[in-house]
Amino acid sequence: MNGIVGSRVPLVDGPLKASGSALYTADLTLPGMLHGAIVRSPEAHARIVSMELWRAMEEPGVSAVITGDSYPRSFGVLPITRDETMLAVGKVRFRGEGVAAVAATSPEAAQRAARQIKVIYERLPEYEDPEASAATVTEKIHAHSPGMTNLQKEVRQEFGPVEEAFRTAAHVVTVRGKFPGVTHAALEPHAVLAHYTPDDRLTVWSSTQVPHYLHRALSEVLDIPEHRVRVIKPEVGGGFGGKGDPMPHEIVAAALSRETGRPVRIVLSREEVFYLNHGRHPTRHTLKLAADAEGHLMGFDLDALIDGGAASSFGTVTTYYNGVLATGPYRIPAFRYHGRRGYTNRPASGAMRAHGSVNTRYSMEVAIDMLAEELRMDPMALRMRNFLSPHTTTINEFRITSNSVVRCLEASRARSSWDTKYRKLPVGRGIGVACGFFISGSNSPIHFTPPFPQSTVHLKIDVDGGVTIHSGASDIGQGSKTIVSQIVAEVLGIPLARVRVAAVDTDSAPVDLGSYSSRVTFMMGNAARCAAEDMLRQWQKAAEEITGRPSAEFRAHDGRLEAPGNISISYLEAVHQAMRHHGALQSSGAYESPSLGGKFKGARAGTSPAYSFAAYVAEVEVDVDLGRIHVKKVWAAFDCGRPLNPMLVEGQIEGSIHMGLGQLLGEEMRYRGTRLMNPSLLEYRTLSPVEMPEVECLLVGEEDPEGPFGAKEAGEGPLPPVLPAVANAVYDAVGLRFTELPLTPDRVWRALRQKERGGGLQKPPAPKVDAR
Amino acid sequence: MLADPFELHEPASIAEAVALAKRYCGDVRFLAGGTDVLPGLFRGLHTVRHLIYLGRIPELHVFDPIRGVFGAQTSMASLERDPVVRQRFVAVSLAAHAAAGPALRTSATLGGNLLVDTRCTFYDQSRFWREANEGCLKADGTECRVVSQGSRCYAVYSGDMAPPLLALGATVDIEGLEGRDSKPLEDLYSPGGDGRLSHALPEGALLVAVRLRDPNLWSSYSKLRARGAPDFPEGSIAIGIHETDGRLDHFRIAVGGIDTRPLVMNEITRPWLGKPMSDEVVEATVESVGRRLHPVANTALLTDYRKHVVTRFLRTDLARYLALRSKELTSSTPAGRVG
Repeated sequence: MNGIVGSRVPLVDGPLKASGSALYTADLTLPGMLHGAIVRSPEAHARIVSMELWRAMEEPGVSAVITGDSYPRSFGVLPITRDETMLAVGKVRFRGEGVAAVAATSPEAAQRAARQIKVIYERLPEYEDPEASAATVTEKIHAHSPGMTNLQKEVRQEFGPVEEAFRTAAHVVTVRGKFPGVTHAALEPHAVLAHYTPDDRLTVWSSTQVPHYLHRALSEVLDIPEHRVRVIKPEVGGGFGGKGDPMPHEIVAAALSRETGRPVRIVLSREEVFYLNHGRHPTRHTLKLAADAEGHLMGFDLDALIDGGAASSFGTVTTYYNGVLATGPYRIPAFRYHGRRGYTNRPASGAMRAHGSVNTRYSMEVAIDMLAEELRMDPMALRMRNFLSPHTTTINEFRITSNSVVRCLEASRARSSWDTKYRKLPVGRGIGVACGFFISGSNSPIHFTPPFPQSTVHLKIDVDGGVTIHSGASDIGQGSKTIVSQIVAEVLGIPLARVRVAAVDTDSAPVDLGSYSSRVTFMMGNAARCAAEDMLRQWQKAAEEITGRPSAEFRAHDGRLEAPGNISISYLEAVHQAMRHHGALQSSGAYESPSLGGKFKGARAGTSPAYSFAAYVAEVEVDVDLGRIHVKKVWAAFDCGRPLNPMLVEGQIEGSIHMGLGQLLGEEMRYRGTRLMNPSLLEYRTLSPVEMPEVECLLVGEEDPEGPFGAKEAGEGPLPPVLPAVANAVYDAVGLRFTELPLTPDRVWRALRQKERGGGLQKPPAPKVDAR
Repeated sequence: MLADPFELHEPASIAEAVALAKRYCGDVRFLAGGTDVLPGLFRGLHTVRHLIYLGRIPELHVFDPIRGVFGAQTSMASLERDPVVRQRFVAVSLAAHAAAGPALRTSATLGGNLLVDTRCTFYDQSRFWREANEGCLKADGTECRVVSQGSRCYAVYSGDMAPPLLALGATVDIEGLEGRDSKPLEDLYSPGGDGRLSHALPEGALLVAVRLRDPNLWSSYSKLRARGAPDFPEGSIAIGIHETDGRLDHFRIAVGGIDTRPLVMNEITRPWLGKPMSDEVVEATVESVGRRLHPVANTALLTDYRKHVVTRFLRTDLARYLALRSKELTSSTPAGRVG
């Protein structure tokens, strides 16, 4: 142990990235490499009548032209909903779907040839509204939807006496929320390089969060045994869920390489990334909360309809998450959820940072603010009254272990001077609070056969004394390489510089399920700790051989193994002793998630070995003349257990706030019918640096009993609370409730004008009961 | 998206540049900083096979803020940062600062900004997107997608530099086939009000320089954009004022980001010349300018909001002038904001 865990260690790959030396997929070239281009459908829903390919074949430099018929087998990240194909087969389901692909000697030649492919389409009825998809339709988007509907998934869950709660409640509040789709907007567009070689092996380098799922999908669609497929993940320039599925272009590149026998690289344009999407679902919901006269929550009722676009992706999980992840951090005695996900002829929705939980969290926290006002209570006091305790179970049978939400609320309240500001700032200025709750990794793997651990880590040390970590976990910029290095260095008591993380390569790295559901620190971290402890035991045994002292007495510290009585040898002496007869040392560690969840349908959705908690306070100024919301400061109190690297946690919180404010204040996948109007970063408008507020991170969590060194997640949970905290602050400032996003200045201005016409802007009433 | 192949020419003199433009007439564009023309090429909005790069022509780089002469290749960053510009031509400096973001401003040029292509939701899209939407009046189609059955194009003038320069009464030097000519900046823009043309320069003519005469004007520039950076204007307004012995002898207002060209409000401001600036002038001007603004729904923000904000900026900026005037501080105090 040497204090590396818990310290503010800069990213181990930071110098490479900051200097431009890090290699991303688009930087990679191979001898004889071809460039792929994908022909995309201008129609949103249409039958493919015919395709004329010969002109493209005749273009100079073209080696291959393929269509969906080459490899028509469907795939999808969830084995129960495989409904994507590498290229459209028979019909197109959204504008921008691939219909054919070309490999040529240069990107220009590929693009020129792609333009020569003429496709005749027969238009079908287009569906842009999931409400229409849930009703009877004349044309099904996917054949497997029930009856004559375009529904993809429907969930009904009920726990506790819901009807009675709402019948007997002293207070009921209702929020009708409406949220457009938003997308990940990672800096690096998707890219893939595939090489099929004459020994019947396929190697694919891809900007992916999930090498293991890509590995499986490539094998299944191309019908190549898994042991002959190799996936390598180079550096990834951000994912946020957008690289969390096996994607069509990855299969296309592999197919083109197999067709030509040459390496093929495809780099998507920013516009193509927008069509790939798999982003946050457009959502409409009605959320109701019931409470007694003292403000104890009695019931929670949610009806949500989400727009899945043209494919399932993670959508079955999303449909559950929209409901079940809103049951924390509050104690809710009765809960009913009806969720539906409709297919539409728009780019597919999927998982995006804080998957499935952001929109419901928004309305939940706004509803609690409304309830507090009805009760004339301080919203902090109302929340405090309803928090789940540590080590308890929720109504839907989530096991809660560590839980520092009370400390979070107390910290953000104290640091923000809440008591002197709430309802006391002048008109136009306001302060608001909201809480959060998120999983530290999905407890259930996506694939059940064969059963294997969620994460495995291998370590290797040779004569040079450097420890190599092999792990399938994907560092996508969030810093998992740094975290795993810290954990291994900590256990082995060696400097961080003695540890290196091998590139993710399915030929050499053991399986980790990937970077999604905020699982990596918790699950890979535990696996790494086990692997390092296994390695340490080998060193201790060698130390015993050298010194004659019992191995259990040795502690690893500062590159040495030390035992009582001033016994001390360098770790290298121990390593070389241990290697004497069988060469390089190896060790292995794995993490298996516990058995969790109830026995009802969908019980596993949302179960996690641990949950993060949050309480954010935001202070805003509303320019009532221009409708502009200026977020002045956010106090972000977060319970990630013990922060293994506070600097990285703060980075995740600041990034999450930036992303959450983007969704709140401006981002929107803007459609006219099925037509995406803003497929470019200039028009999509993520938050600019000018709008970014000051953020004060308050890391107040206690150690989690099962997390590695007491840690929980910090990658997604920090996002959801910021949206409702700001919305509640806007209400405090000008008395306006917003239940539809985004809050662009023109929409805010319109609402302010209406409010002024209806009697003018004023502060909402102050509570009678204070925060204590 | 990749551009179609093109040949890049790099003339060293204006004469050479104009000769090249004549030789490749109909199949050529001038390339200044590249921040507008190159994205247009990538999106297939321009399909020329020849680009004439202007960066190697010394005369276009003239930068003389003392005399008020700015070559067309002057970078936006220089206009933003130069202390003399900041002091003598306040609105010019403010407008340069409000354009795009710092990185783009080091490449983007004054000439390029004045002649920037008009913008519209239905036009500033990839070739694929436009073809899937069957084009529009400005590109690849026969119908306006903004105003149904519209016979003209409503694409918006979206530069930042024209309004302040118009408000300050700038002139421009133009090199054409018939030689050098100097004319008011207004003449650079098409009077017809059709967004298909982003300017009224004859093909092959080259904008050489912008000239500002009077450094003693009070000026302001305020801009509305969707975010604090780096968006194009959704409406902007510049004002230039000078009074001698308490009477207006220069009063000009120009609006950008609303119409197909920058709107100069001379018919509204001219009647006030010879009279003192007053609350009455402010009220009448704000009302008249408001009536001239007719944005259509082809940018990010709602049209009534854009109109509201531009008139609000006008009122605020004129009020600021009045307040400063009473303290006789009008010559060097910056005004304007980005909202």
